Amino acid sequence: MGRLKRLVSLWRNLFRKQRADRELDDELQSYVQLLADEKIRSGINAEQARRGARIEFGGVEQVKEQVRQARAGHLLEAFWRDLRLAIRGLRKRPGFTLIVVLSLALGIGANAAIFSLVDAIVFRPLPIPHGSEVIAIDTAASKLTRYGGSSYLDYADFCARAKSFKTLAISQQTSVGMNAATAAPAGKPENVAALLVSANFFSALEVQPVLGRAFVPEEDQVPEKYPVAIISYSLWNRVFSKDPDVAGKIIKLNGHSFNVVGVAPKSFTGIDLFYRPDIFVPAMMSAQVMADGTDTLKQRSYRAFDIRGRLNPGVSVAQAQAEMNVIMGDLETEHPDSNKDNVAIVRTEMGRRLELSDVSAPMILTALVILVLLMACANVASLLMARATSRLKETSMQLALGATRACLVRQFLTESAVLAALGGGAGILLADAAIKGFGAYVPSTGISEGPDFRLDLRALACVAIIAAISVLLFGLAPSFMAVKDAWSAVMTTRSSASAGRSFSSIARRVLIGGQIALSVVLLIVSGLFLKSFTHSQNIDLGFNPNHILLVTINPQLRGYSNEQATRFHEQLLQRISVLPQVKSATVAARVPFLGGGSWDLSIDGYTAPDGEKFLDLLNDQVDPHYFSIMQIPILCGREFTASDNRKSPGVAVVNEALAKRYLTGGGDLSKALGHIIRLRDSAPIQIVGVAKDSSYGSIGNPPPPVFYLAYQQQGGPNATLVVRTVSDPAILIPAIRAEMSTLDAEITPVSVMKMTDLISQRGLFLPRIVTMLGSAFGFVAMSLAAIGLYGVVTFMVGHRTQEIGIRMTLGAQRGEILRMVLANGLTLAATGLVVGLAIALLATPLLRTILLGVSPWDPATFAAVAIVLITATAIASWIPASRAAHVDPMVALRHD
Amino acid sequence: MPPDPTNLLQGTLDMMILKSLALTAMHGLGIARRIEQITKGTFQVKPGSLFPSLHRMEEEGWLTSTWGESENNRRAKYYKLTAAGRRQLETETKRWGRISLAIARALEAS
Repeated sequence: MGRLKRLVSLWRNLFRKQRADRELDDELQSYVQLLADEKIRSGINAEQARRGARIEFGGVEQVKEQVRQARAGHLLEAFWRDLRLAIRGLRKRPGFTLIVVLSLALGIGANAAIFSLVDAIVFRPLPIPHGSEVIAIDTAASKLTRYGGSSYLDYADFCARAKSFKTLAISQQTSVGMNAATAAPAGKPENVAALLVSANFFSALEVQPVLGRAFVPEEDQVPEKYPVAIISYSLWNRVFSKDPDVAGKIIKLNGHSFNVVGVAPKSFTGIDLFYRPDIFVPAMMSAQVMADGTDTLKQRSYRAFDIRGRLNPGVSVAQAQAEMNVIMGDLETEHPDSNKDNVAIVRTEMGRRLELSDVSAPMILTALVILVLLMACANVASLLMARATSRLKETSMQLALGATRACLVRQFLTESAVLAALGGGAGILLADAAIKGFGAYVPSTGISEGPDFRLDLRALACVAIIAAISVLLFGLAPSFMAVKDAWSAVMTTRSSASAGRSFSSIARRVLIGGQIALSVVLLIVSGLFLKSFTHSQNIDLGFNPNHILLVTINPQLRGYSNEQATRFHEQLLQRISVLPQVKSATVAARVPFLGGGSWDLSIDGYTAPDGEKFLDLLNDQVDPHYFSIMQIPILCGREFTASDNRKSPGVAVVNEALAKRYLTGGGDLSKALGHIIRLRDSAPIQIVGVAKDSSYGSIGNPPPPVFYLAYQQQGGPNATLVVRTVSDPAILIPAIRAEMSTLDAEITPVSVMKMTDLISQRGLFLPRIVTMLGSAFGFVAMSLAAIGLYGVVTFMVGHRTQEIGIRMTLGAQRGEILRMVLANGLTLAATGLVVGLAIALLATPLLRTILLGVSPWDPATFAAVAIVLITATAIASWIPASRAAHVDPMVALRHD
Repeated sequence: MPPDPTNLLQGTLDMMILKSLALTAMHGLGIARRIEQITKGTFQVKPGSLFPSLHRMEEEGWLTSTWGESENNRRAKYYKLTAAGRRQLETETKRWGRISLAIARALEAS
């Protein structure tokens, strides 16, 4: 009953407000009337009685406001009123609103974009049910590393012996040539990302196909018996146009027919944020999908499978790790040749990701972008303070008329919230554009690799939180100060000009000073990045990347056998070598910056300090002339020749780093020649040459040890042709494609690109992004600070107009006025600059590890930033200063 | 803004308004005068406290209001106790009795 009545009142108060107000008015009027009547009865004359009654009653408006506050729905009603007021106020000052919204949009948008970026790289959970419970098992060849794939046989033993796990599933990434045409080859095979999986893969991850079925246990038993495949949602959409009858259709993978049995859900894009497979195939079919022909399922030392799974209820990761330690110990005793010193590492999937990702660049970006947001907030806070000060009279009037302080603070905060909402909205648009920009910038290999950047709900929630924090940061202090100032103005009847020099004006100067200091820090950091980036582009790579064209082909996409593939490479090489513009050409299994591979290697006569015999070292397999074409000098010995083939003894070339670290102890390099090294198959390979160190996949780090084997002796079917040309390599691309079609009309290269493009895309991707964004943030920060300073000085001039007028009347020259105002702004700028430089001196050494060839205290960068900042602030102060100097004394004296 | 003394005495004021309405319906000024009279001038109820209380208690359902004629033919809004209001008055009176007894004992104890 009571509640119903309250609801009715709420309805009346909110929607029939005018009527309720009129009634209240009548009631109060009648009270005054009755009071007057009472006085008349006691013998006072009518005029005096009415006057007395009104005095006794007090402020009618105040009583009405108190009644309104006691009513139901008062807060809601007040909120609507504040909202209307705020929007009206903002529309009246479009310039102010625009600057505030733009500042916030930059701050909030940049944060949302960077959050999405970091999220996509590191933090996004697997898109599956209970994704956070998924654990990962890595097998490492020694205790020194913390990650590595596992072999199929080890995996089978884990499944059979371990009790800790509810389920364990494996997967292996590979790319396959896919032809969707069911009959004769209609189209060219397409290179798609594939995942070889155990049959329980989908059930282990709790992923239900949206169409058809998941794999069944029989498909995990017999090698090469069940050619079945599950396709990704995006492939289903792209190739099959969401055909509901796709189950049962035949696709060709590397020339072999596979039966499509299901479609994965749209949200499921595999277990790696950077690798989104389009085809899932049972691991039992790996002999057909992986064209190197080796049966990967039968070798205990073939460790290329990722293990994911879930723990039994109540089992902790530590318990599972303890059990795995025992199992690995047993396996070492049973299979000493393949499992010596191998350890298993059990982690949660997210824990593994955090441990293995390089988070330094994302973290730096996050720090920078938070600084930008702080600056934007400081700017908006100082603008709001200026606005509050200029509204001092209005606010004092509201206070005098009976508005409570809480009421005014609420009104100011509502205005801030509207601004934050507008800024957040604009920020989302900005972030969306930025994220699309990132997406276009991510190096692509043509298949679904690279993180999936998008502005999702997580990012939007992040925007909302940031906007809310911004309101508190920039809205609360100015509103309290405004009300405080207005209150003291009411009490002391001071003019607005003198109140302008009060607390809020000092706070504004501190804010602007802080902003200038922050922008100095940001500018110095971005200057250092810029310099480091320029340096990294000119860094000596150890080879000459100019005029080199890389043609990566994957003949296994056509179902070529190993020998067919090698023959194809040979023939293509011969044809390309004789093209005009081509100096020479060679074949390499891998090239720097385009995928790296490491093999286990033992060196006769060398044992690691921990007793480990095999080293996990970077490896490449190259044809004759590779070193001369790449212009990597051979320091001693020889490079490979055509006579190093399958019939001749195994030979190797090692780089300087490997020779020094493992063979010569830093002494004469020629001592390395003649040493014997062995792969896991333990056939002896003799070192015949030492090559100079060259970059392999990252710029600026010391070159890692690398060993090169003869492609003729150890190469697989996949290779990259390395072509050195006379001039711009790009002009050769059509000719090379034509030669390829002549050999096999249906083969297409995986990629054709210039070495220089590859380096700037791959090796410099993160530095480039950090540099680009860092510079952008630095510039935005400085602009914000300059706008803030301009605002402060303009405001100061406005409030000292009268003083300036008096000074000029008393004989001050325009030059003196100009100097006075300019000094005011520049003192602030100089203070900010000094503080900023001091902070930068303390902070930049933290960046030492990621700066290439530039000192964290680079004097040139510091000096340049100081000059740029002084110039910008001088301009920002000059404009209002010169306006002040041209004030007409007569006008100024009459001011206010 | 002057400090608002009614916050302290909110419950007390409500109780006295309910009490003054226990016998007959009254308008705002009547209620104020009645409270003054029964407390022998100790409590002088100002409109700024009286009207918010009246409106809130009406929304609570303890009072109802109607427009009527005053003794000297002025239009005035009369407040009347509802059944719920009467119950509220009883609880308030009991509570107040307990509190005042407790306070009196506490003061005597020393």
